[in-house]
Amino acid sequence: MALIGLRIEGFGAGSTTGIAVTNTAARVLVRGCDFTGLSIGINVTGGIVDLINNNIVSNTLGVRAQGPGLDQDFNAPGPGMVQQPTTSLVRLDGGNVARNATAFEMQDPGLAVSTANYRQNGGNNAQNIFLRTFNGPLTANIVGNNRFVNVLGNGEFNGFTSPNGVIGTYSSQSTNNNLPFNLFPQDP
Amino acid sequence: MSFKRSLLTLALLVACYAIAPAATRTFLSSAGTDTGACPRTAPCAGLAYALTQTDPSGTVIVLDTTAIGGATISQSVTITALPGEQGLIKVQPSTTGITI
Repeated sequence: MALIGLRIEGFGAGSTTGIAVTNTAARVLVRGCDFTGLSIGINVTGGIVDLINNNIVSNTLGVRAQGPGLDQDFNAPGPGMVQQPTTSLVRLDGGNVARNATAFEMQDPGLAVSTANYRQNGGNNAQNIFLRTFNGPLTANIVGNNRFVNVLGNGEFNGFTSPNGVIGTYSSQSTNNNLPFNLFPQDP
Repeated sequence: MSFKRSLLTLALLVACYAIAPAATRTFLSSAGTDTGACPRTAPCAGLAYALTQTDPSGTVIVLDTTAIGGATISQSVTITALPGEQGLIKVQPSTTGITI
């Protein structure tokens, strides 16, 4: 599914969401769209979303993902364990994320407790939002947000001391902290 | 026997005509109205209606910058505006523009 060239406005009204992705089977490409004046620009509670060259400006919360992200502990998930399925995942490449009260929010990027198959906190899946970098810097212009990232709920981010240190990054289609990019066959 | 067969054939033809196939591409514009199948020659106005006329893997094309309204999408469609144009969605309080 692809959404291209839309402008979604909330005019500062209460409890407005630009795009809500709730279907864990969804694979969504959002490109060249504007999100402004919304309570939440993009809210992903299930599914995988690629955000490419969008303007996410002047919202209360720019991008939110809730639910376990990708389990990056590929090599050693533990004896008898398998990798935890991904519930919610957002990748952002290019565009502007500016003047939001909070730019990004990751909620529950890991599990609360271990199960028979999945490690507690989902291995290394402390992140469910990933920003693309190119030769070091982020490809998106992220400026003027009161808060860069908010993290809450379950996940290994509890081991980090700075909330700004926990958002995920990736650098190309072939190297990005072990993320399997064949998850996104619809990439342009 | 032949008459019955002809009637059956006719009924099938009518049924096929009544269930018109959804279009691979549908169109929205500021001059559109929500009737018909949203072809380029008679575009529709609202995204929600256009989706009902669009093949599950089809494309909804916004021809000029106009308010298209929100929608709930449960099919693998593409919604795209022509270069330089935008599909506008004004979200009302306590609502969501597009739900997937």
